[in-house]
Amino acid sequence: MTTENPRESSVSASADRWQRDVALLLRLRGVDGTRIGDVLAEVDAHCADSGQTPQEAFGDPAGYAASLHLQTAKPTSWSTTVVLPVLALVIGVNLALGAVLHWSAGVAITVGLVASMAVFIGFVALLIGFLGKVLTSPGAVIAWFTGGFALMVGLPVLLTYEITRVPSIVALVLGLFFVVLGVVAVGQIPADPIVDPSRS
Amino acid sequence: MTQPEWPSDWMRGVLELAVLRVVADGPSYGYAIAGRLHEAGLGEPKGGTLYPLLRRLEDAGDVVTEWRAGDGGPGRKYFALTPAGRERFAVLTEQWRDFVEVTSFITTPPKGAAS
Repeated sequence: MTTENPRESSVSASADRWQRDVALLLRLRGVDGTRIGDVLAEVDAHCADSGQTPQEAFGDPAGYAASLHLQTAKPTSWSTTVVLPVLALVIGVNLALGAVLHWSAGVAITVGLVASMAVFIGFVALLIGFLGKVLTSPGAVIAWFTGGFALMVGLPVLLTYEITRVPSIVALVLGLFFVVLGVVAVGQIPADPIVDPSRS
Repeated sequence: MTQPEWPSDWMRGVLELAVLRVVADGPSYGYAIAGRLHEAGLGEPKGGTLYPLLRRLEDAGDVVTEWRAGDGGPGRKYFALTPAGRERFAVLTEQWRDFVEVTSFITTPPKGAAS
């Protein structure tokens, strides 16, 4: 059994958090996994040689990620590669579940349901846009998720005005179509792992 | 040995030339480059300043990089000057000498002037 020095363990945890934040911030800029791996390996090597923590040697994660100027030509690809497949899954599951639970009455498309989907799109889009700024504050992330989730669940419960009612069989077929579409689209997201060039 | 603390604006201006100078002696890695600058009396640049500069030099084609295995620890990324980088180093060195000459001239009081 090894005895771990609590200070070393906390330094290593904070170094891991620093590296994770930089990786996430570079991902948000559309930087590929190979280049992110290169950046992280540079930091690792420098800190191993100097005995400094990443924070001491490289400053805060957001400032360092920005200073590298690794922005790619298409940083907006997140919206199509991640948000749309997840949206298809959410709509699909909603419709299919609604059809099964209310088979005889049909699925009511309410103002709340539509508003909830709109909130979902806005919530994820804003999250991607501002993640870099809220990263430094875990409280803001928790508030963001709690608020978004409460709105998505609360709106359909509160705004029950019915826009239209879809026959259950139509809702089920549509729902399953969206689920399959979402699953296929999620499968298309390129893996692009972060590769450590210093160990390959 | 305590080192003079140069104004950070000056350091930002001269760092590229100084790094090119170190790499002109042969392939080297980030921490060793920082150490050479420190020994030369320029102070030790922070990783957050040095590595973005090295990346800019790489993107500009002035240096090429190669990862080499470390001794027991993580590997090290070596930076080597390219022919284009060597040319840029020569041009910058020439310009720097002219610049030093001009700034020396302008900061030297004229003979006979009251100090």
